[in-house]
Amino acid sequence: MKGCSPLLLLAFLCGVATPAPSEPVLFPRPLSDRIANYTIAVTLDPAHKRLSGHETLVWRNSAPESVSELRFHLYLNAFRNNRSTFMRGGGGRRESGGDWGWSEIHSLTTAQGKDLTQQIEFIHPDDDNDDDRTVVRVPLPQPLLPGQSITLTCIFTAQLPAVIARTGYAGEFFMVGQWFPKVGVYESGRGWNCHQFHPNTEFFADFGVYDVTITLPDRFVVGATGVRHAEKKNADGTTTLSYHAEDVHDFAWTASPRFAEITDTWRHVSLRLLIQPEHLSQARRYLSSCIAALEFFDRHVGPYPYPVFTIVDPPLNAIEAGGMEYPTLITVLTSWGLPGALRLPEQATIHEFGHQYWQGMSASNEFEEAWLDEGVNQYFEARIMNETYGEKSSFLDLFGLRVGDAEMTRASYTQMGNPRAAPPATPAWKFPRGTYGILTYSKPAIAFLTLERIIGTAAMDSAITTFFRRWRFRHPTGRDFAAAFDPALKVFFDQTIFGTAVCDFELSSIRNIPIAPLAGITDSAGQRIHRRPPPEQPDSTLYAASVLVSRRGDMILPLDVLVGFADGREVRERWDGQATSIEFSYQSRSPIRWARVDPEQKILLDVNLINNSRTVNPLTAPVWKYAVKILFWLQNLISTVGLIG
Amino acid sequence: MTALRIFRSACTHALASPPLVLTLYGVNLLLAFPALYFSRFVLTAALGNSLAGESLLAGFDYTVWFDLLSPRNLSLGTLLQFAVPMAILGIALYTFLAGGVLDLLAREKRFSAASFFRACGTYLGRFLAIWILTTIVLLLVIALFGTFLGVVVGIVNAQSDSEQATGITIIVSLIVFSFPIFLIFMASDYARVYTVVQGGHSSWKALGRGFQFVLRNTGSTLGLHLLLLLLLGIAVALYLVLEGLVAIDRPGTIVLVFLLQQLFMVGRAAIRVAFSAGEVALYEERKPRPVIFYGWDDSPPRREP
Repeated sequence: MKGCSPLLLLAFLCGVATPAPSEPVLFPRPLSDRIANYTIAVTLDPAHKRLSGHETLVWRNSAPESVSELRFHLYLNAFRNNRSTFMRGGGGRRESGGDWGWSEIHSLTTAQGKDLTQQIEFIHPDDDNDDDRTVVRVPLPQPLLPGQSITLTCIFTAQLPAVIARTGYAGEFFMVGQWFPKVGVYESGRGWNCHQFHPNTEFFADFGVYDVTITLPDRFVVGATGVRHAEKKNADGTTTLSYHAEDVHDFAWTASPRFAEITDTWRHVSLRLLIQPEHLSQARRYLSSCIAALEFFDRHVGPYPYPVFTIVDPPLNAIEAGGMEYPTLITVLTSWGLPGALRLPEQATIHEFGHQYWQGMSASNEFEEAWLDEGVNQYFEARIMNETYGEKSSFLDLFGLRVGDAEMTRASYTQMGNPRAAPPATPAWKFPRGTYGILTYSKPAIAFLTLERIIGTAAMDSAITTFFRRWRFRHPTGRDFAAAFDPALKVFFDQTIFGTAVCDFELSSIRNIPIAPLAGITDSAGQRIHRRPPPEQPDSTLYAASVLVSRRGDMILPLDVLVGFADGREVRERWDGQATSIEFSYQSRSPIRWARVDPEQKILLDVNLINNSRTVNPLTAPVWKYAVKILFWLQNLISTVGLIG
Repeated sequence: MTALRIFRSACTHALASPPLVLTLYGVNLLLAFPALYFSRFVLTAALGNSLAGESLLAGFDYTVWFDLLSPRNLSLGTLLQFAVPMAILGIALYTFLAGGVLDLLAREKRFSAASFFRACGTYLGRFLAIWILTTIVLLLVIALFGTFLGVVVGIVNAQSDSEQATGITIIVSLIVFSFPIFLIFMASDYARVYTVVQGGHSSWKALGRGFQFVLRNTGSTLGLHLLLLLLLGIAVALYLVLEGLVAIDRPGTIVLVFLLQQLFMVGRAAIRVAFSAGEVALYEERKPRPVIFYGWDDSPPRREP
């Protein structure tokens, strides 16, 4: 166990049921600068799907300048009506009343008793949508000086929507995320970074300590961020659960009477799986993939410091709650009867666990640089899936149909109609429609897989570990990530992450021109000599052989070219990829038989791998193999539809 | 048991009609054969001189296939564009051939190409009309079922948090629904048998008689259909097992697999003929007989006004 007293932790994990518990100390030396610290008491009204909360925020001004106002996110107001920026942007649909969600602040007061409620003002820093109520500003009675803290108490109500965008309810299942008024991030020199909730955007917040008590009917099984350290049964049939989390930037929780609970342990981490009863046969799949991820990150990136981790498996009718990350808690997804050969639950678990590092601890701005958590995390997902389940079958291995996780990620990028639509480093709400997912998840992941194959796994791990150590529990930017790599790789990041370059190398042609022996008239010592061609001898022909390699895309990458000759000899060439084409020429007694660009297939960013190789004697067997298969299945199609004819 | 008995004798019938089986197979091959050259052409164009072809010989490779089927190389749409007209042609062709097949089996004639194709032409119009009517009925039933399923799943979803209940509801509904679908297909089949055996001219009436026959002999007709499906299932499984035993990576094994495929298609044609023979035999055995009264008229005497 790292940075945590084992005895103390054991006591908390056992659920010490003492009244008025004192909060545990998980990390005697804070891991973060703990700018935003919350104490929240919340009550769930399951009948009306409503939360009543009392929140105390202690916020410290860590900037070197004074701060005259605070800004808060009221994320649930994205689901308040169909005029919010989220809804207008196509983030979801709500047909009728009854399942909308909203958040309302009833009172906001300072520790000195100054009521700020009337000063609350809705603002929309990203657009001109007056109807959006996802961000508010509150002028302070007096500017907060550098280093000073302010304590605000807020009474609020949150109406949960029917599950949408990873939050809400479905029947008696509750996924309570983005539910409390949450302060934005103040950036020195830039002011408040507190964006509206857009369809594609996620979250950005400062680290802190959370003490949350949740009161709800005692039939509910609850999972939450942090450590549960107390449980109190109330006379009215409710239970009050107390949670404590340190050095996290969010707090989410879930409740359902149907959850089955399975526990496991990995080193210092208590794993808790809250699973739908009909998914129980898949419990081991979740837990073992989670442990695979824990081990991989521990080995390649850095330690997981928290003592707990909760996996939440939502029901299928709340599938929109699945596949989301919160500190020490993730939601995953599966369905009843899903075959083991389709590794969807494993993929979701590994991906969402990875977010504990990328955005959980390395808390980048998901609004402005979604690639920095999603892309890096997708890269790690591919590595862990490949290592755990096999490179070519990590996602699917059914009836000879085998698909690797990285292959699937690459395919989603290469099939894009316009891979130049936007650089991955684009604010999430500014991507052209339909491109956000591919350009923030797939393209960066494929870029990093390519980079790993070019510079080597050790160098890649070293750079990422450097980045993680440098920036954990802080707010890194994309440039900080790039800076952890060799400066010579800046051009790689500029092309792949900060630019729109597309990679496509082609082995354009192979030529073998026989060089005829000297014949005709030549001069020698002032004499004209008539040379006749010598009689032909087998294997004496000399060839002017060459391969032409072209760069069809605008991405410049160094690469190898492997040239194979008829006599079995292979020659490896190196090309810096700067020019639009290059010709490698040889004089050889043996003609060139084949050539391959990027023979080890390091450059997964290449959008077309078919044109990466060429042979002078193409096999006809593959074509016939599939041509007769197509014929056969077409005959069957005709015969089958003929049954209804 | 009736279905089994009839099917056994129908199989004997089919085996005794190799020209009919080969005609069905030949027409099928003739229709699909251009696809062989078309697919060879597009695959050759897509692969070019690439070494990627060698990976295709080794077995399924997602990345190679995905890149090959991308619009940059070979569009999957191009292949699918070929499949849809083929399917439509298949329906039309088999509707055409059904007349000849049923006529030959019903009249127990010796196969002659001239009389076979003449019979195909004779019944084409009526069979097309039956096909259109069947399709309309089928679409109506599917729409009805879709609405029913939506409502039922909605109710189950609202009352249960478990997708298991929803999943079981959908599976049970599909099984239950498969019965009327079978019924419609069977009725359509027996409508055609009725048209050939009893010379019906009205498609509406034929379909009605088809439904009537199927409802009166549900066990036998359903049994015959299930036997067909079972036999096809066994044939497909057998083919897949045999294909799996052959490493298709050399010209010799490609030819071997091609022959295996064509043998399978001949088998399919034989099953189809046997099945049609079974339907005709079942209809002949169970068809409604005309009622002939022997005796006297004992109706009460008419009263004089």
